[in-house]
Amino acid sequence: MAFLPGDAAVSLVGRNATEEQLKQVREDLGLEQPVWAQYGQWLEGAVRGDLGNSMINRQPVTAQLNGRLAPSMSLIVGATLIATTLGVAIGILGAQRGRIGRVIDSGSIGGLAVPDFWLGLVLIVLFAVHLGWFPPTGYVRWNEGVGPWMRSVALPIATLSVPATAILARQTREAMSTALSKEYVRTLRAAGIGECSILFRHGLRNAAIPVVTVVGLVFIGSLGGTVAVESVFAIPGLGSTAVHATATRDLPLIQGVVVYFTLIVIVVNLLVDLAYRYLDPRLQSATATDGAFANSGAAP
Amino acid sequence: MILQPDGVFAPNLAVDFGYTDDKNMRYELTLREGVKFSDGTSLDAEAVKTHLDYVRTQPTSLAQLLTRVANIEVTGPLSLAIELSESDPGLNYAFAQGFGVGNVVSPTAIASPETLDLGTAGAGPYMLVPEESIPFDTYTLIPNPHYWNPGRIHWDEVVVRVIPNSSSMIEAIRAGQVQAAHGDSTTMVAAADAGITVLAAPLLLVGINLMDRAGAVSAPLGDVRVRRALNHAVDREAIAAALLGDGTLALSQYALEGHKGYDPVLDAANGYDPDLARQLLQDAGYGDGVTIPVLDVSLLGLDTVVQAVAGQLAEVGVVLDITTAADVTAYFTGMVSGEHPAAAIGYGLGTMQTLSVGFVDPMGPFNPFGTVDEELDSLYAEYFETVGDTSDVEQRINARLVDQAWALPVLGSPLSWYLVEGLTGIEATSGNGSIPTLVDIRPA
Repeated sequence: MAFLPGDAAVSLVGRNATEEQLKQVREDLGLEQPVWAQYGQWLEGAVRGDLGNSMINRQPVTAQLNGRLAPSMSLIVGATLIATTLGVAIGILGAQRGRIGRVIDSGSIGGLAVPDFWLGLVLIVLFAVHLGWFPPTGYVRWNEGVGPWMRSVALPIATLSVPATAILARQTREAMSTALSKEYVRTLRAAGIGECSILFRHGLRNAAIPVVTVVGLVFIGSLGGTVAVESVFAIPGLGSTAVHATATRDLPLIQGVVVYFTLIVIVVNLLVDLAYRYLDPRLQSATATDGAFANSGAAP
Repeated sequence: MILQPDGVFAPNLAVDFGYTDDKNMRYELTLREGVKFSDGTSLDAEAVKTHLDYVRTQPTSLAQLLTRVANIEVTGPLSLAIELSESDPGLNYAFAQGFGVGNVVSPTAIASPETLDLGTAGAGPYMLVPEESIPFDTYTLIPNPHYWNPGRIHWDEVVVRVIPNSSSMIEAIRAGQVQAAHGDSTTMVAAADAGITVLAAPLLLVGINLMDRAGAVSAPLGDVRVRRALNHAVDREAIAAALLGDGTLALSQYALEGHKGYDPVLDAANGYDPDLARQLLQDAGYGDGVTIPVLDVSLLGLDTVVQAVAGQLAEVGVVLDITTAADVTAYFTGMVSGEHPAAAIGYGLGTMQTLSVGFVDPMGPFNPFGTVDEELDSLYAEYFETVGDTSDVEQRINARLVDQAWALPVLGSPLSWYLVEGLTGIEATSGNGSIPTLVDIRPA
């Protein structure tokens, strides 16, 4: 960011400012210091949990971003839950029937090809303007009423869910097809085990690890999706903050958004790893065995 | 004071105001009696002096409007005199709603400026509720209990929403979520088609600023014949009709109809004449064609205008080498860097002083190559000292700018406002710079 044209001083003072005024503001903001010195100061505060203050409105970055975390997480968690539910269901269905599988493949490509800002506007026109079911823009905090909160996030979640569902449906179909083509499935069928049990107890469990991996990726990908979706729906989340902070060259706020996004990615990856252990008993036993070897190796 | 739709300044917080000498160097104003700020502090002459002194010392664009102020003297409990170091006829405009220097802040808040980071302490009809506002997203306003004119308060609560996507904003109006909005030239046609009342008056000079008038970066632009040729090569009416749906929004000069500086003769003098454009290029030695680098940005439709102009200039052998800035900050930084000989421009027109501050002044951001024109300076000196009707000298300034082709004006782009049925109170005209007093929005 430091190497892009412009800085927060230009945003603060306006286009009619003189060079003297800009210089004064740059000094006040610490922008006259070398980039490494600015970064060092920021890092020193960051390790103590202080992400500094916005250069534009001088408010603490942490407080601003904490207030914008809930709207973004509402969208991302909601979209991931819906995409997982629909994507897995469609994927399982597609794994069983050849023609449906092809339709799902085509639908997935279509879902991925639809630009989210365009889809968002179409949903606004249809469900907010013509049907009046949902508000076209804005975010209502959940403590102001669960119903209004759900209505305010419904269309943005639907917008984010479409590409995510497409990805998950396709991944689930492939993973399930692979699992259901294994020898043991034929054996299970020969033994008279019910189709539901084969699908959900055996097939889905074996297909789950690649699907869970993609769920994690979908969640992380939705972080990027919020940038456009929050702008279309005028939602005060992390994505719209990133856009605004970049436009005004508000470096501390941009760094804060990056830190928040990074922490979210780390937490999601951790949860995905934990899910692997739950879904695949071999990983648990492997860890236990490794531990046993380590213990025995350390013994005198 | 308030700049009314007819272009006349009306009393507001100041009941009496104006220049009291014959060279626009002393300005006096008398304040309304019994006015209080929203924090309960009295609005008197000392408070206004504190406010103006504070504004003058802050590194903001507002301070630029007060650079000629030498001294502010409190002459009575409700009266002040402002002494100027040079003639400056623009204080009324600075104090009115367009620029807002007259939006006086309470001295109590000025003593603790951090209270203004999230709050307000003004003397207007509404005040901010910080706990119900989210910076850059939602601003909730409630009536100021101390406002001097309760009859002007029409709403128990006003919520201002920032909707960054202009298409979403139009749909929010159609869905009934938003009742009034600030539009732009790219959505006016869609808004009107959607049945929204569109109030618009031309305000902005939109076109290409030919900044490198000495040819430091682009030698051809240093030749006035080339700059004139560019002006004659563009069919502005066709562009206005195509982009704004109204050919009358074409602009060939530096003032709008209704402004004192407007002269209809200049429209013809600077009109579309591609044969003359070719001849001028030939005379300047560029008969085989010329390439001119231009910086533009996706803002207020500036990039669209530049592309339309480029198409027409190609007809006379001029190629625009367009660089599009990533965002507005990059655009302004690039424009003032001196690296780009020409740039898209959107500049609010009003008086010739408005044009002077940013466009003509060699220190102004829209004059990054610091062009100085002695004849123009002489005309401005005459203008600043003129008391009374300034039409004649403003028209001569306008004519000089056209003659020297400082820019390539294309459109008088409107500043637009959208209102739903059942509301009134917005009067946007060239007289008030298309900047109405938004607090007057009320049920019809």
